[in-house]
Amino acid sequence: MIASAVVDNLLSAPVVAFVVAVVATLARFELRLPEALYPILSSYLLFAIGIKGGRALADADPGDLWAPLVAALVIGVVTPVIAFATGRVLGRLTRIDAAAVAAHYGSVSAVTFTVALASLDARDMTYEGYVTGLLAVLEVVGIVVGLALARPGGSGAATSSEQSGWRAALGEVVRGRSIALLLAGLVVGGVVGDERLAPTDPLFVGLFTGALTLFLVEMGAVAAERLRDVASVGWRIVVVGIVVPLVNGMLGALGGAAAGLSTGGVAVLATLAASGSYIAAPAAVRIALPEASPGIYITASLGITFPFNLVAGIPLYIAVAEALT
Amino acid sequence: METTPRLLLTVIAEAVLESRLIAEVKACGAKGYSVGHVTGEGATGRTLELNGPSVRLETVVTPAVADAILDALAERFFERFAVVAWLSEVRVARPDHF
Repeated sequence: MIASAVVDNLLSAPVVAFVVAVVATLARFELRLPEALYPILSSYLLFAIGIKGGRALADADPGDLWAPLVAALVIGVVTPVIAFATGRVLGRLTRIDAAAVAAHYGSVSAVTFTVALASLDARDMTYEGYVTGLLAVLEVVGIVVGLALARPGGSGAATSSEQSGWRAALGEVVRGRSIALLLAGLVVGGVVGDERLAPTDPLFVGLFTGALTLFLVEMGAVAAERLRDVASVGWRIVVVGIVVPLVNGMLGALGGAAAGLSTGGVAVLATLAASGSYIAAPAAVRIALPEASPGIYITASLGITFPFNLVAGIPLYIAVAEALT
Repeated sequence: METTPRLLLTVIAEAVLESRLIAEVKACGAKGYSVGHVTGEGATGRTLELNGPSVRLETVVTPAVADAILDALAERFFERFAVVAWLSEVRVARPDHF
């Protein structure tokens, strides 16, 4: 069953586009999209995901929301701690580098999330639409917990320059483009409601998978460039980049099942918990922890975990969700 | 036309510093600035494109303001971030603008 799920997932347009782009870039084909397209596509995808979530939120019973919200908060706190410990022990990273890795894995990848939704849609599996709201929660909580791990416990006050770095990093996450677009979409979708959104469907629903496929061509090219750096950061980072999503994905699935989510919802929460950020977190980490090595945290998150989740992780999380519910 | 000596301060910094850089420059008394986005290579390696292209900030200021900005950059950014800065002597028309 898992094997057929892997094949189904592998043959979806976004995943095939990603794999083709990775291979082509490794073979030194110039596959990058025009520079201006990257922010346009990512903005479109985030806003469209927001609208989709907001539309579902408008129909949701508020009483059903608290258990998944608590599960997301717990996952947001636990997943960076696991990434931190794995980075320290398996990756033999310094405290600062491990904290930077933790912030990335505490936070989430909106693209991985979107591919998971597309996989579920392709298999006619339903999920709670409000999971998009959980994405926003996890993104912020995970980064904050990850950055907090960089501070050695209770030793003196931070310097003013460190404090201003922290404030700037938090502002970057909370008010940054990715969360802002997602929240704006949620509000628009929630206020307008399912019926009145129909005229916007050709853009936000009809073009969605096509735009995602095009975006993944770019992501494949970017990830392949990072993949080349793996040799310089060492095999331990590869281990971290695969062990962390597996452990966190299982925790996410357990949390989703405990919160009473549907099979699709459990799969989505597992995917969120397993994914590592490479949009919000790198900027926040760069501001708050400039001493951490981007070569380590970006290679792990974008070069290893992102392709792993896309190709093997998502079908695995769906299979685990089916077994748990 | 009569021109007046001023200093052109050019700063190239990594993308995430853009808003903080602008805030420092204004706080130190610059009356204006221009920002462009550039890519390239430097002592710390290539631009980390994931966070966007690097920032190239230019401002024409008096020597006192230039010193204040350089001191602020040194204190807040030089050690921890990829930032370079240099001064050039220029002659400006409309000196009250700078």
